[in-house]
Amino acid sequence: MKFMIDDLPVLFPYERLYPEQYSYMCDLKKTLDAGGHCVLEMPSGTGKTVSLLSLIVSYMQFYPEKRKLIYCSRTVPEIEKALAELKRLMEYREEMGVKDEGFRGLGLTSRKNMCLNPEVNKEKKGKVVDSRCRDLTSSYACERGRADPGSVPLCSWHEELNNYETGELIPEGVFTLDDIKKYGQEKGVCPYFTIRRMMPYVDVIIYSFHYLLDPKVAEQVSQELSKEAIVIFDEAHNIGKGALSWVKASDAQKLTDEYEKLVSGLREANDHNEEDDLLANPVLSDDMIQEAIPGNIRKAEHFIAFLKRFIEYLKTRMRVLHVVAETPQSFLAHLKEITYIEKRPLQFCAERLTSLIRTLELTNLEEHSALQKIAGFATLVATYDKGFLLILEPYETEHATVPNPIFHFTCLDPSLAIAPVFERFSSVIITSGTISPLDMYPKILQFQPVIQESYPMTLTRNAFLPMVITRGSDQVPISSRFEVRNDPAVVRNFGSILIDLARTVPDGVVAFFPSYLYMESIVSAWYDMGILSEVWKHKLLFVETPDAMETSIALKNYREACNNGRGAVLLSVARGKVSEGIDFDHNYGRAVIMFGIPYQYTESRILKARLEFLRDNHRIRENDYLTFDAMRHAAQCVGRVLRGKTDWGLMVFADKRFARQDKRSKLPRWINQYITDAHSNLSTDMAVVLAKKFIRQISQPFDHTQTGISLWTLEDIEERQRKDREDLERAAEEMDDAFGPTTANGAAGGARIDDADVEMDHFDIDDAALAAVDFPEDV
Amino acid sequence: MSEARKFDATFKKVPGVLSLTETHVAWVPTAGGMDRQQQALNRVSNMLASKAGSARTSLMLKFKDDVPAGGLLFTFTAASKEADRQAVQDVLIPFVAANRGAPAAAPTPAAPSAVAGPSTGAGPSGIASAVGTPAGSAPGTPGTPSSVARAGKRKLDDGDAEARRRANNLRVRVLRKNPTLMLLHRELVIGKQISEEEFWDGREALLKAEELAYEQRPGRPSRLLDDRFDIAGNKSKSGKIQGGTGVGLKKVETGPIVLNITKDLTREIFEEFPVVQDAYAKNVPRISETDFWTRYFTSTLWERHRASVRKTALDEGSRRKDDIFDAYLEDPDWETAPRKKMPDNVETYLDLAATEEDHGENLVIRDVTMQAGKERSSLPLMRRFNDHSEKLLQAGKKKDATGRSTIPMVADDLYDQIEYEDLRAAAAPAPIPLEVQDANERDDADGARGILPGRNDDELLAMADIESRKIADWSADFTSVCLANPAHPSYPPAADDMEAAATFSTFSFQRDAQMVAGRVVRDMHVASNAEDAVLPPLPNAILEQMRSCHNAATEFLRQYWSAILPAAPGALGAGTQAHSPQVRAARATKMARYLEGTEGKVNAIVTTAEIARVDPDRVRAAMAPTLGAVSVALRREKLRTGVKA
Repeated sequence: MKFMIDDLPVLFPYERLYPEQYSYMCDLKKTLDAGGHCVLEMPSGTGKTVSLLSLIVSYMQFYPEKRKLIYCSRTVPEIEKALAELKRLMEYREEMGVKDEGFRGLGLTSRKNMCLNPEVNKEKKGKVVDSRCRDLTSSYACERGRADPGSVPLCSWHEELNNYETGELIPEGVFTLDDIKKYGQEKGVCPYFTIRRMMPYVDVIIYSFHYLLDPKVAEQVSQELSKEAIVIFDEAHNIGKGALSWVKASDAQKLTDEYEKLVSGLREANDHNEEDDLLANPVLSDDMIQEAIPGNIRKAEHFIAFLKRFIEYLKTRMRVLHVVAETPQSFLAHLKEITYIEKRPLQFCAERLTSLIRTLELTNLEEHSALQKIAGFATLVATYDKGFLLILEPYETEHATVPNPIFHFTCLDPSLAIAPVFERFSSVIITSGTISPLDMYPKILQFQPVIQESYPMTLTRNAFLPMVITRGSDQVPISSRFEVRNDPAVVRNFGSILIDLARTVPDGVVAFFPSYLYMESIVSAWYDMGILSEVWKHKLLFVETPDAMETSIALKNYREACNNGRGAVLLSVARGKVSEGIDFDHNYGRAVIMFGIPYQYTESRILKARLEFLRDNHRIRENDYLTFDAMRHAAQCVGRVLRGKTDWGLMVFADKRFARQDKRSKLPRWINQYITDAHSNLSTDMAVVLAKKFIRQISQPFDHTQTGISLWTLEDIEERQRKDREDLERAAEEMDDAFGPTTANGAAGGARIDDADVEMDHFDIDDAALAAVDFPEDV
Repeated sequence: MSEARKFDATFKKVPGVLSLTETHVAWVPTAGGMDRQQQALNRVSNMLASKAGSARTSLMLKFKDDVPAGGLLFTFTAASKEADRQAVQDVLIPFVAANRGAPAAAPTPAAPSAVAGPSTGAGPSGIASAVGTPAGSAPGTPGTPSSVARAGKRKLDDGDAEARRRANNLRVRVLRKNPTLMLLHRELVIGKQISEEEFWDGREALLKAEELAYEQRPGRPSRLLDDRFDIAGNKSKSGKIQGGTGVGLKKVETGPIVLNITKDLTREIFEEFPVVQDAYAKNVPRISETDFWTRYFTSTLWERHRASVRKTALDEGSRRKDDIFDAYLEDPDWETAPRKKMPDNVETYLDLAATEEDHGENLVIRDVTMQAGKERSSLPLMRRFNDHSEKLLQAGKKKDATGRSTIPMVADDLYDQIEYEDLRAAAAPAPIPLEVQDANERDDADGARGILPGRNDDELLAMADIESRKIADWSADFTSVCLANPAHPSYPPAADDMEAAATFSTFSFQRDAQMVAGRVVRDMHVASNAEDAVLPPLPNAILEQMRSCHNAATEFLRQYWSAILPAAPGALGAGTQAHSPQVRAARATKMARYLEGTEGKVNAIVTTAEIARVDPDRVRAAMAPTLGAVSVALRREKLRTGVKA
């Protein structure tokens, strides 16, 4: 359908629209017009991606500025789905007679996922693929290979690209990741480099948010994107985590022989090859890069000696058998005291190493990754003195006796990573199904949103039933609290919830555990108690395993079992691989069970340090943050069952702590509003009765075509717009009555009052007017 | 009827003669003083013979539903008693087999005459042969009903016979499930009114559904093999398996555990662990089976296979080195990466590995609890779960490959993954009428739709308005319609008082008229009550005749119309020879001829009713719709043939 938001015609590829989607799009447009950032929480499964894309593409194509769209998502499946949405949207626009000439939309993922070279893509590890690819495609390899064919192995897929004109490597239109791989196969070109080289010419780029947040990657990949671009972080509840992820782990054992090799192959050469994309400096600040490399590491042998000294120092530090936590300043001070290494040369470590590798024209960079890590670490530790912490953990776990030292260099302040993004791009949209409470994000990430909104879910019938089970049928309270989680009564009660629901619920049931460790221990306990054999009587059983591909196969079988009517149970982990990016809509998930609250491991020193940082700098209490984080993940898990408003599912929260108001209030509004008091403190048998009743009810025929409440036609949209206008006019009139007609700024309605006091009042009145106009959920 | 075979046998110690016909087994006492025993052969459900060489040669016959209770025990007395018994057994075997295979169902199955073919016997013989022919009976076994029935027939080639037999079994099953259909079948087919094939024509869907339902087999049990053998199995009355496999285990209180290895258990073990099968194939003739399994269950290999974290029942000491099984030992599959080779690609929207590789160098170290695979001992278990579930899933699919795919696989298109169906402006879904057993009731309820069809709401509303206003405005004005009683003192009026006389006569006329009207109303009321009154039920015999006549007519009508009307596209059985225009035309003519007889039949029933002193009008009224339908068809037929002529 086609409708107007203010002066912007929006093409939406469906004939109906959810009210949430409409408000969402309106707010998006306001943000884009104002040129600011926003935080929007949209219920899961109400078509967030399609709304985002259809509004923004309409916006991009309607206004002459032609702003680009950078769409950041979490996982490859989600990237692929977003690309498919975009592709279908463009097909629809074409059907509607819109000419989007030269429109290009591409997705980017790693070499491992894109590579067509059979020699390279048989490698299992992404890092190895990267390094082998670099060997085959680096500019010096190419140069030499072209000058003297056969002397250096080159990648024919990469070479083939040179036969195409810059900016015309691929026809216009939208390509999903699968599409572009197919295209590459047909034409014999490298999909990865096709996308990379097309980056300056595309209108929409969809990739993982690491490509924008991780400074190392961002510099290579996202540099050329213009500042006008619109940035979206979809499923953005993770960006805090993404930003927090510069953790340094190092095992300095194998370093020594590596750089011996480097020394032996040392030769003097000083030409620079700027256009290479192979290694990048992990630091953000522009001014630093302009500076010259300090004299004492300018010569190669000096630099090697310098590195050697630094590594020796690290090794000594890691021999310590107790936990050390210190700030970068104190680390640098100590370093200087012992080894006379200054801060400045340290800063240039990574860059110097890169140029050295380039000079030596080394191949097989994978072998030097440890050295690169050290250099990167040196640069980071010397550059950032605030918001970071160094933690040395000599033992892996509390009870371990064999030292396995890990040196963490952890970022405590997530805003550090995202700050450049906010600075650089004018509109950053942060959106997700679960980012309640909304004010937490701007606080942690330190930015000022223009709009910050959580949309309730409008339903013509209650399509999902959230239930909180606090105790088993034997009235023993259940909880994943550390003290009781391995209590046989609790384990058995968790198990009986699974058995009862497997018996009651048709098709697919997904269960989430708070951690891998807990799942692994409870699964074997359940097996030995005979609980799983009971489950097997009703459904097939699949479990998330450590290996991603193995889990993918299990998922595939799970979906097949749901499709053919056999029914299946999937056991998986909140925050795990499956919980992010895999949807369990319709028959793939008729019930989700959240066993326990997915708290983070509070004994972790890094977490403790971060919590301290948040408390000291943002006045966020530790407990608040932990609960906020845990509830967000719980909501994320249960939200996976819904897609569209005809879909239905049970959401089971099995932990007595969920009944507490402080926990529940941190769930997103669209879930919380449907948890009634009657359903917030149930025993297993009561819950099963309720579930049966709900399933019977929801299976009754229901006319899903009725519009007006949770589904809008074009007329409904126009009606709403007319009402909004009227409200606005009435508000303006009331204000005129109150303050006398304003003549200064003439125009009717809108923001025409300059005086701050009056503006406050204006909003009061507006709210009152809105409340009067029967605005049911918005109170 | 072929002649009966007779054997000397005692029953309850009374000497007599046991005779076997094609359909019945009967025992007649030689001296009387005891009741005759006769049972249909197709009711024999089991027979038990005394051991060969024992003092008495006896045969116990059990019948369906255990009637007569306890069965019949015959003891053969003739010199050739062993041979006698063998002969009886030979005859009975197929019936017993058939009755064991078939679920307890309706007692008298009607049989399709196609198998019995031009069987010499009447209906019952055909039934017996059709039902009693078991799947495995070797053709040519002397004395079995099937061979008797087949004897007179031309020799069919085996494949054809097999197909026919299967079709017949199917039809029998359908008939058993639908008593009404069976009744109709008996009247029409066995009553030789229409042929078997004609009867089933147009009922392919029924057969198909039955075939599908019958072919469904229970799949593999989904439980996972483990060592929780059901120790309490003997005690628990339900015999339900809790937890483990629970296959045949006996435990002597203090002694060693005794396992009863059943075929099922071995098959399960072999399926679950192919290495055991391998070992079995290599070793078993060499060492005894008992030895093999004992060694297996005490081996370290079994310990691994259990993949349980729990401590084994066998303590470490009792486990010894085993040269067979230790060769198959390998490290448990508990590394993070599975030992099994994984395929490289899955659908992108399920590809978790792609995400892991998407972020380049992963620098995040997750805390201990979130590192998958830390609890190594449970990894092999989790892998086994996934494998087992996958195997079960595949087992279900294999059957489809040989037969036909029962469930169409959902094509997982990428667009399907992102589709929001409810955002499409879909048309209101068409209601699917439930399959109601008695379709007539539903039709009755249907009736005309809405009030005064053909008028729109406004008109209806206006009409209602007018009427309601009429009622609201109505006021009783009795004086205008009713004359006052001229209670004149001079009553009766004087002859000369003309005016008074006129008034009086008008009044009396009115009074009389009122009285008459009242009487009429009363009579009508009584009459109408009488109409609604429950009439005495029709005698059963007549009702039976009516029903039969109606059923037959309905079937003929069905046949007629299906021959006349174009077949629905995609209907089962369309395009076969039975549907060529000539065949159809012939059938239509034939059916029309049958239909012409309907009126005569109805008249016959009416006559019977008159004789039985039942109101013939009631019969006529009851049969009127049938006759109406028949006359419609006949009119149509006249037109058709008329046009052709």
